[in-house]
Amino acid sequence: MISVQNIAKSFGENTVLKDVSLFVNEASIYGLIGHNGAGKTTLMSIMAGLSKADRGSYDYGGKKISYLPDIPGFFDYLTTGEYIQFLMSGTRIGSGPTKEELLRQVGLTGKIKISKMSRGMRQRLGIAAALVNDPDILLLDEPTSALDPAGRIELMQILGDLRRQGKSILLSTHILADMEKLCDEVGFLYKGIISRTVNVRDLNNRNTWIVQLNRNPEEMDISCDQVSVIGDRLLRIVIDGDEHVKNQQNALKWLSSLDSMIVSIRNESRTLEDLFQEVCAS
Amino acid sequence: MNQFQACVKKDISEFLRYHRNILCMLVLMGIGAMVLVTTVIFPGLISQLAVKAPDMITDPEAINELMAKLFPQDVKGSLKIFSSDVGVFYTIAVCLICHSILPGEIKNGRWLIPVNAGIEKRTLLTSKCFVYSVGMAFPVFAVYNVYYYAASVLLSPNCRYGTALQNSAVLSLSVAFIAIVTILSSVLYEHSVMAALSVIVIVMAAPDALTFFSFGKLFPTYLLTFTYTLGEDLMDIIVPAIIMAAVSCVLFFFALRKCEKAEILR
Repeated sequence: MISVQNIAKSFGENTVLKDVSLFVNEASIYGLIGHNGAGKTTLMSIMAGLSKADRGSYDYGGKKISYLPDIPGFFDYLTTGEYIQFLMSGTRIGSGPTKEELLRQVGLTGKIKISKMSRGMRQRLGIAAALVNDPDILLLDEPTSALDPAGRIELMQILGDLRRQGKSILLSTHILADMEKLCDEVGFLYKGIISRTVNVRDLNNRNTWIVQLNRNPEEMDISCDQVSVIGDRLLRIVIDGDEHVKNQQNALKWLSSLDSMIVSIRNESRTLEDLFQEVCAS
Repeated sequence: MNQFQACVKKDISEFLRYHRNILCMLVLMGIGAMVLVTTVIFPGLISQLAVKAPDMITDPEAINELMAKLFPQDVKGSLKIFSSDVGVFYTIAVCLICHSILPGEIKNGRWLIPVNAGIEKRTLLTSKCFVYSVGMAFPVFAVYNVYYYAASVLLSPNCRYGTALQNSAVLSLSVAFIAIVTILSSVLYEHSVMAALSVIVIVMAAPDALTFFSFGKLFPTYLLTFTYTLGEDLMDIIVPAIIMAAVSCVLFFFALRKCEKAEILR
């Protein structure tokens, strides 16, 4: 649905994007991870058509796109309803949702003065504003930044709802835990390229436990596929793959058979944070 | 509601909710009150001074002549003073209000979402110029006419209402153009305050300077000179008005081109 090919962008001597390519499926959420200045905002504004790339192309298959910047600027003297009504004048009449529907979707009413709104409410208004032209694709630049935990949870629920409605979302955030919960796929933007892409479901389905025993595992009968010996009195149990639940049940059953031999069990599952550190270290 | 109507509605909300209408009225009423009160009171004070402290005033005739020039006791003369004070002080207020509106909006990314929603930059720019020029000019028209009636009561009435009406219209038109030029220049200049300064300098210096030349009548600033001298023949301002309109169109073209080319990145 979103196809970005070999995008490059420099500001004078400073090359921000060297060669960025990515693909986002329909009705899915793609997370863009990168440190400050990695080029996430630059990439998104190029994709939104607000900035020109030096090289490369993007294709949305004729679908409608909408972009929400990290700190959305509003006309503070308007109310939420007036603002959405104003934006709706830019779209074809009757082509999208109504003002009330949009505001209800993000949990706002039309009478709130924008100048009196909290950061979280502004982000929600931004989402409503981005939905005015009923887009198929949403580009959201750090939508959860500076939100409190409750605000982040609310926003993630809204984004989850939008995915269920069939919209494709490309978002960036520094909060990797949010990415793990929300995204289907994440890409690490590092040194001007997408240096690694991770399927979040696979990552979440891969659990690694380190089991310390009170005797040498070589003396034992290891009949479980998920188990391997990694050292003196140490076992590693890795659970992943399509039959994740079944494998986990097998491993737990086998572990319970060890009974009193277990000294400790440590979870060594890798998170996006670990992967990000790996990417940066490489 | 089409795009232009929606933008105009938004800009009217901005103008009214930031109380710019009240500010404009207060500035103009302040100028009017200042001119009228000093016109009525000052010459009397000087006469009193001449009687009570004759040693201080060595040449009463020269003083009276000066007083008559500075504080004319007739409506025509007072309207000229009022016009030139509006041209100087109110113009400064207009420039100061108008110079930061658009650069502020664009730099703070307020155009991003509307443009993304399909609203054209051309419409946003046109609407801003329209609302602010009308919003700044209408109070001039209203206060000028109120001033005429107040002056007619307090000073010797030697001016037809038709003359005052047409001068109030020309002065309003001049202020509208000043607002438009300031708004559009602020987009073109790197620092918007330079736009305000250049417009203020032109408005303050050019009308007086150009009276020394015959071709001065063709320049747009003659619109102000016309009201400073309480002109009566509207044919005199056709050429400067056309040139002013042309200048505004050219500025609009370049300002829009700059807006279209600008990469909105923060």
